[in-house]
Amino acid sequence: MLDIDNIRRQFPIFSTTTKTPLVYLDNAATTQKPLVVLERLQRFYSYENANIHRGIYQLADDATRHFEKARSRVAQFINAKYPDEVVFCSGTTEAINMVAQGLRKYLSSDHQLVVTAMEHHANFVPWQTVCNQTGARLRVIAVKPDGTLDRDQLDAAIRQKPAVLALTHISNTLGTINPVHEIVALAKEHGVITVVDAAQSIAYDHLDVKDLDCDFLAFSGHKAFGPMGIGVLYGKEEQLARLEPYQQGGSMIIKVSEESTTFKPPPHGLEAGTPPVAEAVALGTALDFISGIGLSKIKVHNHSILLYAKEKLSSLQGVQQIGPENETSSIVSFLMKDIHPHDVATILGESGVAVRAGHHCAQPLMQALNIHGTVRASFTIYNNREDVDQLIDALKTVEKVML
Amino acid sequence: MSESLKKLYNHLILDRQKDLSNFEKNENAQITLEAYNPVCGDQFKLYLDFDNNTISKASYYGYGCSLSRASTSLLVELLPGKSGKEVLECIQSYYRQLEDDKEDRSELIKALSMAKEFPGRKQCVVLSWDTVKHFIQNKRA
Repeated sequence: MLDIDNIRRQFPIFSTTTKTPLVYLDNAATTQKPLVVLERLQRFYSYENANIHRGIYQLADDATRHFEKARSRVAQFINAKYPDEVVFCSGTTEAINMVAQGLRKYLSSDHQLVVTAMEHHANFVPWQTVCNQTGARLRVIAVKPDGTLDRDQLDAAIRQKPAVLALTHISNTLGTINPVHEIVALAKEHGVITVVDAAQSIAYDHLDVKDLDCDFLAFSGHKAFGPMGIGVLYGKEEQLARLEPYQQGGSMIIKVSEESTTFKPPPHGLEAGTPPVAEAVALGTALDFISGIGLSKIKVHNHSILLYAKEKLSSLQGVQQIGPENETSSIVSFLMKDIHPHDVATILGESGVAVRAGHHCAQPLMQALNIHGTVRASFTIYNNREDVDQLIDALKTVEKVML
Repeated sequence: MSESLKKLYNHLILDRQKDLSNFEKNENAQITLEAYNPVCGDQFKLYLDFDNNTISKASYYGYGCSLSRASTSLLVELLPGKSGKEVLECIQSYYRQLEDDKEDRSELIKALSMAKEFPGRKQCVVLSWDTVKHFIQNKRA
């Protein structure tokens, strides 16, 4: 059994003395940071700070070593073949833009790109944009009323051999877990480049990119107890090599003359400018934090809290849960009678309960489900049953206020 | 429940959001505006008819939270009979009343003014007002 109280104590934000203690149920937006991660950031900036890949002195050499060690740590965490298959970037959004724009030169009106109506805007808009730029067609796979993908439609689209399939592993809005292994396998059979948005899965389940066999995978550090501003694009060595660098400038070059420039090979050729070094190093620490507890144990805990929350929510009259009944991660989306999600969230916020309300950066999904928004509670390792009880109590207040 | 929450969700706002007067589509309106907040998905159509330069009829239809509905309902109630210039004055006066508790103001506006005390809700009470303001300003320009 995990000692949740002990884990919770490692997060300074829960020890702050505000008028109401924080019940933080917005982990799908960003997780809180454990002390080890905060201390690692501070240690870097206090004692280890230098720019990387250029200084001919010990401090710079050490900073480079820490940065590259973090790359290896990420590679190990997702079981990449080589550390150089890990490109550091600012987050999932940048990672996907890097792929979409990196593939741009290969795309034309002869091509089709496939995404789903379940995607976060980060895995939707970059593809829509590159289609507009190149004349390629964007095919959007439907989501069924139960919040799962229309597999028949998806499989048929894959058999038409589109250039790219960009798919989320877990829906940030509904928690739907897509069978990415099956889908990627089918896509590989048809020679489709596969891009997996793992923003919601990196701290939820074991990711093994060798086993998954996707071409690209993207995630953000801040949803995995790491700092904001650091994220990862994983790409198979040969796939990264095909990407045109979407940003050019410092540190990504081998040789520059007035006439032309030679770029470094990946990953460094895709990391223009000074990267967030401390953040990358602290991301390594965050992954150590996760491994220290154990992802399997985290998953069991998160699932038990989710089931408890779903059960409690079902007992409240007028609460309608949106999304699949099973096969969901630690996210529950719901509506409360005809009360607007922002009214619910404001009243919950007054009780110290932080949830997300609105369209969750997934407007195509809202359109597919014919709703305007939801209230979303998302759980992680420091949440306990008392957090859920407080959510339920606060929801009873919502009813009192609004009806 | 906190005092500010009680002041915000007071019965005037809750009654107002349920009040369906002027809540109707008017596909034949001379002017149809869209008030849209991409953050929360609130979306109203504002229907305006003019007689010479005076608004003769106003209604709204769409989806929004209690605050955006109540504030939109108040807006369309105030618009008929006003010229463009008077509409702008009315909107400016509403904004002043939201900000300044020394203003002589109705209990409903007092309640709406509480929105600024709550994270992310200030926009709800000006959404439709901003839309009409921009339309009239552009029309006059």
